[in-house]
Amino acid sequence: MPRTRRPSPQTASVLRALFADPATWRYGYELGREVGLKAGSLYPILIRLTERELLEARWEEHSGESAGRPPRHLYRLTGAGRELAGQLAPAPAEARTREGRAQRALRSA
Amino acid sequence: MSAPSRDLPARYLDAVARLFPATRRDWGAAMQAELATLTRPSERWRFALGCTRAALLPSREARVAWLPFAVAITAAVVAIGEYALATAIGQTVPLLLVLALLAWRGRRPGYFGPVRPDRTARVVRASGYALIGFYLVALIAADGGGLLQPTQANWGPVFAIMLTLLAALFLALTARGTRFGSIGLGAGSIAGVVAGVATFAVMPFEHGETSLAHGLPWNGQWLWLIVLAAPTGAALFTGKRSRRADHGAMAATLAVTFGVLLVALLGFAAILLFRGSLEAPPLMPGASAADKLAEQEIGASDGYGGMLTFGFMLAAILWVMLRPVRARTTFVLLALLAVPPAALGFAVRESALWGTVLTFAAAGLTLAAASSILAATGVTRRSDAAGATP
Repeated sequence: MPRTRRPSPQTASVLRALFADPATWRYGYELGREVGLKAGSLYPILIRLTERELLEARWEEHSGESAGRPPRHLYRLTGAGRELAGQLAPAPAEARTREGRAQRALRSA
Repeated sequence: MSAPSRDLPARYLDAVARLFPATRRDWGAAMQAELATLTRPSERWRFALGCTRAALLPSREARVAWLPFAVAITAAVVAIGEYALATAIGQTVPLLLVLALLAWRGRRPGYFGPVRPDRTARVVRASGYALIGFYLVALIAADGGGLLQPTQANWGPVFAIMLTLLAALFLALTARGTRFGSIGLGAGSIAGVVAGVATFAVMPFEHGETSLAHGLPWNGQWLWLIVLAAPTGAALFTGKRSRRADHGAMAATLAVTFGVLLVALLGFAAILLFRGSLEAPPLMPGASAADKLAEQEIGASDGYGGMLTFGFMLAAILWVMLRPVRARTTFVLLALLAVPPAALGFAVRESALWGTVLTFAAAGLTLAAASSILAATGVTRRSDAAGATP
């Protein structure tokens, strides 16, 4: 019987951020800044999500090698990851923002 | 402006990257690549230092391998802590701390909680808390506050084990993760109370010749039929209603476990409350009153101590039956079966050599049997948590 443990708020925020545009590959550092997580919190989450096959990772192909930088790691949700992220309720602040946007759109219409 | 690549944060992260296990080497390289994009020194330091935590994250394999050691170390720390606290401030406070910790865990998602959202589970859990509260009050009242004083031995450790065990069992039974339905939970609990009370009434009271049922027709021997019928009835009822034979077996095990633990609790409580009625043991002339009382209590508690040991072993089996099959949890719980014989072995280590050898052999055989059960039920395969999230 599979275990269905609820993700931590930090993990949920990472899943939601990736689910906002699931087809796009994202950089780790930028993702951390978007969800407000430092490297010490973000990377353990990314590692666990990847090991549970909820997240896939690849190296960028057109790297900044010409600028003297090594290729960076990119991340996006797998099918299972999208399914799980889709089941998560939006964060309260996010929900309020969406609601506000909808109300503003109605008023301006 | 290009990022400085060989500054101190970069060198630090190089060292951190070497800490990653082989299966996670890519993650170290990924972090080094991210660092190369950062330019501000403070930002680079924060990032490099933050990566240390990721490097120290234990792998799944390491977590599984270390779990038995972690459990053993935690148990040892708790036991030493309880002993130290008991010496300093009495035994009641550590016991209350453990029970409060369990109650807190019962509200958090995990092995002990939260409670399943149905009436039976809530009633069983509330009854468990009420029962534990009752015995705590009885214990403190009967001991005249002695347990609140330092270096008092008395019955504190025995009750601490029993009440902790009981609280953990009630929480595990009624948590959302249990495989056991409400029908079996209700039937098993009621049958356990019936069987426990009947057993307590009909068994010789306080190590004496008579029982509480002595005045009943046929000296209450017909109560043994109730003792047998209650778990059997719970098994048949649950099996028929749920159409699952394994749930019937769980209901019967639950009934016997509850019954046995109830008898032990009632017995110890009775000894505490009715000390004056204990039979005087044959002691050497000149023995002090304190020695007599201690001997009376030890003699009277023999039967209930045996019940407690039996209940402890049944509880381990019940936990394995109730929870989703997971190798590491199952192993830890089945390993608990070896604890009572091993404890007995330590208790008799200074007596006859053969007795000691046999007792330790029993502990070894119990462990071997537990491992066989583990292999036979197929739980050594790692059950991957497909739906799990970090």
